[in-house]
Amino acid sequence: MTLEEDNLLWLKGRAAATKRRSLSEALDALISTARAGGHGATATRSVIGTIDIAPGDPMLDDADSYVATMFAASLSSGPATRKKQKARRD
Amino acid sequence: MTDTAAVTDTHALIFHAAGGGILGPKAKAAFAAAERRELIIYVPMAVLWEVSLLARVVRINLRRPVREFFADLFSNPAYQPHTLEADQVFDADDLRFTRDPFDALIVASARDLSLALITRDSAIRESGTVRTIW
Repeated sequence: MTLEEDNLLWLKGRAAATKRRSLSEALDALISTARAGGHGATATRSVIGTIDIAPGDPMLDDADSYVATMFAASLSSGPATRKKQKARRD
Repeated sequence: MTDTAAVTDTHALIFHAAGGGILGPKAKAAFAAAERRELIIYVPMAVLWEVSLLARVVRINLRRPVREFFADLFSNPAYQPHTLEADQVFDADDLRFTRDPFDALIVASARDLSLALITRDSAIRESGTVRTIW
C-alpha cells in the first residue's frame, strides 16, 4: 500500500496518540471509524496571522488570571449551589 | 531540531496563529517545522477549551468561531488534537506545582505522550515535570 506523504504523517501521529501498536492497527481503526461515520480530507488552511491578541495584553500575561477567575468563582460556589441556581433558572 | 513531535501550550499556539513574532526561537522553529509537515504538534483538549474561553472574554479575536479556527488548524495533518482521558486527569491532580487547572492538564497531556511541551510558562519550565521548548 502506498500513502500520500501528508496522510502517512497524519497516520503516524494518530497511531502514536491512540497508542496503537502499528500503523496497520491504526489504519484499521480509522477505516472502521470512517465506515461508521466518515472523516473527509480537506485542503490545508494555515492559521498563521489569522487571529489577533488584545492590544492591552499582547503577551497574554493577564489572560490566565481572567480564566482563573471564572473557575475560582465556579469552585467557590460548589456544585450543589450551581445546581440550585440552574434549578431556579429552569 | 531532533524532535519529531511536541505538545503545544495555549499561549504558544495563540502566538503562532497571531503571526509568531512573540515565540521563542525553538518554539518558532517547532511551529515552522509543523507548517512544513516535518514535526507533529499535538493540541491538548485543555488548549482547545482555554482558547475558546480567551475568545469569549475577548483576550483574543479568532475572527471566526472557535470550531472553525481549529478546523483550519487541523486541516494540516501535522497538527493533531490529543484526547483527554482519565489517566491524564489523575496525573494532573498529582501535579502539585500549579493550581492552574489548564496548566496541569496540558502538562499531563505532554507527559502522556512523553513529548516536550512548547511553553514559556516559567512555573512549568521550573517544575521539572516535563521537558520544555521555547
